[in-house]
Amino acid sequence: MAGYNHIHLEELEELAKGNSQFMTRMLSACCQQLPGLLDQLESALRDHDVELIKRTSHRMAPTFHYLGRKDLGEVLEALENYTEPESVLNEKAAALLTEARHVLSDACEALKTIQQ
Amino acid sequence: MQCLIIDDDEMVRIDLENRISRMPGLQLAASCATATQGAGILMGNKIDLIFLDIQLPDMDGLQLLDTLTSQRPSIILVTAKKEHAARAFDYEVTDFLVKPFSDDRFMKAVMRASRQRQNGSSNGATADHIFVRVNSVLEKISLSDILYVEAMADYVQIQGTKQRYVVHSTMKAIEQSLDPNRFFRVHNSYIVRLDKISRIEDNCVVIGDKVIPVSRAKIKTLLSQINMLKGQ
Repeated sequence: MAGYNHIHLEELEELAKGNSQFMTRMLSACCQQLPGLLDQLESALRDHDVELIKRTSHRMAPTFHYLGRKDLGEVLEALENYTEPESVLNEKAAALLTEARHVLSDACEALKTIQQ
Repeated sequence: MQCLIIDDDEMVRIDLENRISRMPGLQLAASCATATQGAGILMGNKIDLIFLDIQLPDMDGLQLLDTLTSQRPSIILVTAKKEHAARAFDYEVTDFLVKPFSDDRFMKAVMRASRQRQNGSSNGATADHIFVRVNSVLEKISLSDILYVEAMADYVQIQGTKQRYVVHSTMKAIEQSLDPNRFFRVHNSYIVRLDKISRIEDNCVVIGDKVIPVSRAKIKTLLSQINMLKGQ
């Protein structure tokens, strides 16, 4: 399955080994859990709630690895560990949130395509 | 082996369920998101192997291990953070998978758990030797003496530091007898001792004077097994 700008499904397809039910379950789980996590991260960043930022980042990172977005997983790891100055992290987090919503949109689109 | 998955990430649970369903000898008993649910399942079911996340919403996964009694299942920790490895050693877990992990790495962890259970110990160390039949004699070979193993039709040749042994066996049987943390099957016809590799080049590893081919599919896993300088 190809043609998405913000996700790369090769990793999931490799894990699926032709099992379309697995693809459906994974994408469906992503579309269910990611909106809440994105909202949670956005609100934690707004409130400077460092503990919640770390916890939510940790929770979200594997999702992006599965969707072929290791780059976003790495930003989340930086947020989880606070390895960079806060101003840099805030800038990266803002860009991440925008991109992550595109990722979510592509993932849900891919799910619809599989289910058709 | 009856397996239990405890991980709060649904995608990780589905991934593990899928891998378990493809692995002969493993049956999924249950899958849950919290340590509390896991503890409940453990009370009412015979579980042989737990895939356990460390950062759970209600409790640290390792704290759950404190509550388990002597008949403890084998534990494979599944986590995104390598930093937990040191603590994991204190809990004598069977293996430690860092997300995302390959099929090879997953299989290796499961084989390790399986061997430990066959040896009647969920947390014991792997044996430091194997006995092989050479002609009509059972020879004891220390694992620290083995450099590599090579397939030869119906036989395998075990190359030691001083001696070589030709044994009527299969690569699979030999592979299952060796410690997966120290030995790795780089090719259908070769198993190598990881700490004896002196060079890796052009899809080959070099041990002493011997140049050993590495299957293309094994390169990535091999590189994850060796102690490589970070950032390269």
